[in-house]
Amino acid sequence: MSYLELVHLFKSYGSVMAVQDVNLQIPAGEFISLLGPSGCGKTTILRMIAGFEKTTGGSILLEGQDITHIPANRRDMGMVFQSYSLFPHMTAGQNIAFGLRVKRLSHGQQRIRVHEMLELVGLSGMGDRYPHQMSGGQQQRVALARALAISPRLLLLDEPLSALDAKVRLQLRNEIRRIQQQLDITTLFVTHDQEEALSISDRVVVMSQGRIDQAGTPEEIYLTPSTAFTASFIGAMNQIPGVWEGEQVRVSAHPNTQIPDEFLRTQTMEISNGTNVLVLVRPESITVLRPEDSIPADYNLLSGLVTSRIFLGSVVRLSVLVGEFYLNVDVPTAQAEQFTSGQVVQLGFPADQCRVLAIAPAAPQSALPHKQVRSVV
Amino acid sequence: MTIAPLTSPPAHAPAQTADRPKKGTWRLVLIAALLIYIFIPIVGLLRFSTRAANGISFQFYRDAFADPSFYSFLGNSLFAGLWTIAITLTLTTFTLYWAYLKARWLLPLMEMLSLLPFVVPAVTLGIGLIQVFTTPPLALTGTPQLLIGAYAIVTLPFAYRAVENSLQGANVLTLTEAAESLGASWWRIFIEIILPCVWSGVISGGLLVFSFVFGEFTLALFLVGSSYQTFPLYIQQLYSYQPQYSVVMSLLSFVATWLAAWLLVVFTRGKN
Ligand SMILES: Nc1ncnc2c1ncn2[C@@H]1O[C@H](COP(=O)(O)OP(=O)(O)OP(=O)(O)O)[C@@H](O)[C@H]1O
Ligand SMILES: [Mg+2]
Repeated sequence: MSYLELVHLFKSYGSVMAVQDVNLQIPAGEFISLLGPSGCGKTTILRMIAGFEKTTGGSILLEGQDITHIPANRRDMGMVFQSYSLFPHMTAGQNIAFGLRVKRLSHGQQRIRVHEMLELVGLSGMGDRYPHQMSGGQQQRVALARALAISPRLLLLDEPLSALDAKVRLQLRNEIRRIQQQLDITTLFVTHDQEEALSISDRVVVMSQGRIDQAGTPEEIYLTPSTAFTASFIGAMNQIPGVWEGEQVRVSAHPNTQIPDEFLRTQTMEISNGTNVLVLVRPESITVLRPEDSIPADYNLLSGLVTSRIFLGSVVRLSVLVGEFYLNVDVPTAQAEQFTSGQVVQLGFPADQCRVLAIAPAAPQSALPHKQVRSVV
Repeated sequence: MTIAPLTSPPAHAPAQTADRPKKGTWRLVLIAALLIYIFIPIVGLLRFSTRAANGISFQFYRDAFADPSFYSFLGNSLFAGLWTIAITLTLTTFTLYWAYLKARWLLPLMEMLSLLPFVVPAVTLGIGLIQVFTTPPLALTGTPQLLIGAYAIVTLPFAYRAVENSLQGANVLTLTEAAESLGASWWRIFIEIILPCVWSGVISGGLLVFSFVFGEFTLALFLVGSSYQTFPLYIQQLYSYQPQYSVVMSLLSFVATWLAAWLLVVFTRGKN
């Protein structure tokens, strides 16, 4: 049975639908991330679970108990906020002890627990510092310790790392994961950083415009996106529009050129002929072929014109104009030197690396902007 | 305005080096002029109150402080001052906190309303209040309650500004929610989290309110007159038959106000 359950959850602010029909089941001990662009309703969901925001519709069940209308201070949830939220007039230790004091633990018990918590978040000996004497990262650690001290039923984290610089961020996110696993506490983590979500979650919930777009393990989300939105939001993804014709996809050539239509072989799918589809290929799945390369049988071959290159560290991302669309192609930096703008290259990618998404002809809720260039970086 | 020499001591002057000697000099002159402007009347009062046939005497001081009615008037003013502080600051702090949490859109309106007492002259307010509060169900004229009520309204702008300033600096909403998720009740949050955060504002608001009440004359004259005499009324009364005593008292009142102002500076500076 699931530990936390969101059932047909709705939230509107006047005419703004912030959260629409969100259903989610979270087993105990799971680390789940809500991921999505700004304004998609992540914070709103978290705040409804915490009890800071009334629901417009639906219910929230915790261990089978309906907590939808229980006030925030009786929900027993640990929350860490995006902005620094330590009580400024209390030391780190006093901050951590606050919830324990509310619970009427004895002074001795409080002291032991505070010590334990400071150790857990790697701040032993800093209990006497005031918030203004600590760095942002340290403050968020204390906030985490304060939330965890009361042994909450859920840990809620609303972009706790977004005010920190890159290095501290990376370090702290791994530590959050370590602590979560150590305590085996069910955790909801809100972020708009996909790398963050993919790297530390058991499951990622991708959200768009108040709805859940796709939920799954990080691998599922990355490798088998089931919507155009998730495909474009997670990582770089080439999206090539075409028409499903049996075993292959017809990709229309540009009307102004004499180049014939191309056909792409893809993963096999159960789609009726004539359906409009998107072919999804990751830039790292595409190879630039040299004349001497032997070409595997299941490869799709396309030729195109290199129009630009972006250095990304370990790879160089080429933008290649193929027919009427651009493809992003990642080549290892060591081999990238030979490719320059204006050069014609031969691209190849295996059929099983091409996912196909059927798109309804007039999808009302299509998350995809209606523009011609379908390659999203 | 009178606090200026305290907050920015003429320490600037020595820092000004040879390239701009004129500006430094002018500043000194201005500050000196200001000090003279403030202190000449005080020196006059001091001289007047200590003048005696054989040089200097503090007899008036001794006599003034020996007068038992002095203590009753002082007590009246203190009483009115403390109650006003309690009412005004409680009202402002609660209301502002509530608005910050639940109704931010109300803040501009509240700000405007809080300035209204500045717009209504004390005489108008006094006469208006008398009109309303003389008829039986509300016959409060002459009672300290009415005076304190009026003071609570008139001092609203001071309290509002001071408390609002400190609320603005604190992240009230997030702090409240953090405490809420830790299980704290509304009262506990207010007392243990919010109040300490806005304490400096509450204190400085209180001092402003107090120094206002301590020197307020017009409303006291209209609303309570002889039935509940406050310190300024006492001074005025003394003036007609024992001018020296009244001078001693105004000096005292002056010292009290300056003390309040000085504490204010100390408090606001300590927080930054
Ligand atoms: N108090 C509010 N009043 C009106 N609209 C609101 C309120 N809070 C949120 N919204 C709206 O609800 C939608 C969802 O907001 P929410 O804060 O949940 O987004 P988010 O996914 O957390 O975004 P971000 O990544 O920027 O934090 C937005 O369109 C926002 O404008
Ligand atoms: Mg948010």
